[in-house]
Amino acid sequence: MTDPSLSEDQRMLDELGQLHRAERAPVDFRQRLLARLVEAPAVQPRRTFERRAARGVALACASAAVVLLLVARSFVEVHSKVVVGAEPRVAPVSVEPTSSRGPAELGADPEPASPGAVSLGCPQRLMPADPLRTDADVIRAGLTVHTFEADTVSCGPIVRRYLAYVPKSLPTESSAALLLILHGGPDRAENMRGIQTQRRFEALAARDGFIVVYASAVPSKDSDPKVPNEGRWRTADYYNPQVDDEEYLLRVVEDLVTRGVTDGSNAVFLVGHAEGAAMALQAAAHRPDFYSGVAAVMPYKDAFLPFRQVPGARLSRALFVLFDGIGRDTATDWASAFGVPERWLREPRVVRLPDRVVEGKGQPSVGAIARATRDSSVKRIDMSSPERGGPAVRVFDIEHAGHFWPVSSPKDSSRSIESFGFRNEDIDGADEAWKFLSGAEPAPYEPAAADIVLEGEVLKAL
Amino acid sequence: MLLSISLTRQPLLVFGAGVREGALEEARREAAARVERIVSEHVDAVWRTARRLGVPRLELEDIAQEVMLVAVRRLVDIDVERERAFLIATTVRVTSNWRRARRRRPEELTDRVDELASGDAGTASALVESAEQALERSRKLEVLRRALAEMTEPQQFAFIMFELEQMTAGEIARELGLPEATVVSRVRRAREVFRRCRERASTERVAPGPEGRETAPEGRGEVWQRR
Repeated sequence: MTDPSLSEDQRMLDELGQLHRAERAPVDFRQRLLARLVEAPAVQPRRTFERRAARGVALACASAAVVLLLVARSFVEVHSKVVVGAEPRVAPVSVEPTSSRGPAELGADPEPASPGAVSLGCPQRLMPADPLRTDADVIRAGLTVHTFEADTVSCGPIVRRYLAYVPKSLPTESSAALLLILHGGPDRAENMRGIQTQRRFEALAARDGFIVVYASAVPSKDSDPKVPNEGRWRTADYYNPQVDDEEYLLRVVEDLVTRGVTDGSNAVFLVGHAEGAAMALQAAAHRPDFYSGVAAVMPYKDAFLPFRQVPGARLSRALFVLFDGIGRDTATDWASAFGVPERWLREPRVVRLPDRVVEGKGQPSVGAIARATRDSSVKRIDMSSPERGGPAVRVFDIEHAGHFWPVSSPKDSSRSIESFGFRNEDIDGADEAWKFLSGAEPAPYEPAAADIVLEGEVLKAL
Repeated sequence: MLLSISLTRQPLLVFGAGVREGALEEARREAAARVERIVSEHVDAVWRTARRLGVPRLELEDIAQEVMLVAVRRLVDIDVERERAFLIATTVRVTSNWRRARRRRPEELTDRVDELASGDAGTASALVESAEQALERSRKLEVLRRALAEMTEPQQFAFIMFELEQMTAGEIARELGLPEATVVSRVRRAREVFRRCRERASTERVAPGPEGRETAPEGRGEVWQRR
């Protein structure tokens, strides 16, 4: 008999637990499985092992020879470039604005950058004819487009690009903070700047003096050929072993140093949207010694990697803007890895933010996604150390909103709304990312049960 | 055959130092005994975890076998005390991959409520006393299946281990190498998902009266000790 004092949830879970634990694998399956796993090799002929060992050694020798050949080849290439003074690795900063037409009308069909390198799986066949091409308003706003050559594993070099905004107030070789902004996928840097973030990062950079880089992924098979430089990041969800996007991000930072924009001591922050958020989390998790913080906005379900802190790491701040709490546990894991005391992991400060705009009012779209995402709300959850500027994780948990970058008062087309759903307008993603990554927030606090505030009411500890 | 593959790493590592005559056979015998024990002790947990995650009966054997193959391949990396946690975590991941592959092949069979209602070959048929009870049971299992489908992978691990396999938060934390607070947080979030699914299911079943939707029941408080 079940205990009547238990909640309905618990009674149902107890019952389901009983049903679950009573379930057994069929006996014949067990036997077949055991036979498959354990049979035969109890006494494997020794010569088989020796043959395998010899094959292994031969394989190792062959691999070593190939590696040596590759190293020798790259050495010769580098050496010849230095001696002959061949083409510089970094292309000059020169851009020709294309036109004032919309992004969808801009591009011609992509042509392979290097026809000889075209082969299945090689990114060359997808690369745009002109990586320097960009939208006219990008140039008008004072951004510049830069390219450099990056290696692939076996397809030869490809040209990577990025957009940069450096406020005029900054000196050369500046030590100002650097924000690497990663678009979603498939998407492009120009859309991340315009449609998604509504150019807000540039306004903040001009005000507070930091550098903004819009990173650009390599085109993918599902990129729209009519949209120039639309691409996807090489995350677990879209894995392409030929392209190393983590290396690309490091190269962008190096390129800024090479061009004399930064002095190399800058705090580098990653900010990503959707697939770009997955890329940002991946890059930060693999190089906590290099990046100082990460902001992941609307990462998808499979984007959440386990994170382990390393001694002497710079990474100590992570912002998650999540849809319906998906990934909240990962945020707790990151806070735990940052060394946020366990008590504050259990008792985070939760504040429901005010509704600034009622989404969807007057919007023309009647699609299912659009209708389902009206009237969204946001909870802000802080798990941080008591000292100012210490390790911190902040979560914005957005309920009932689309996949858009959150920003107030957007002017979205119905087509965009169909693709992304309505935006949440209660927070501005760029403002929140910068406030948090720069250490201006959260303010130090002493968490206690009474600290948990939800909709103006003090609640007991969750 | 598979064991020999899994053991290939070991002899190669010590190849240069010379292998004692018979050491390989001894290692194989030990590994075989361990695999046999893992299968006998944990294959049920793997089987029912995959079942809860929505794998249809026709494909259960493939999934369970794949999980066990992963375990055999990584035998030397698995701590003896963490075998169950490893296998359940692997089942969640393998099932997740299977689901992604299935999305690309939507024509394949899926499990439905009516199939569940007909009863599983391996489920405790003794608990089923009437057709009504069988239907009720299948509805509850469907709620559970939907709830698990809405959870993230870490929530699935925590929920299955804590609520269904009846492990304590401390055991799970130890076996997964996580802080206990993280486990508790995951279980709490998973319960919220479960509660939402249960409430949605009861709303679907009961036509709203003049008062509208049924009132959500009180929670039982957050008690993290096993009764």
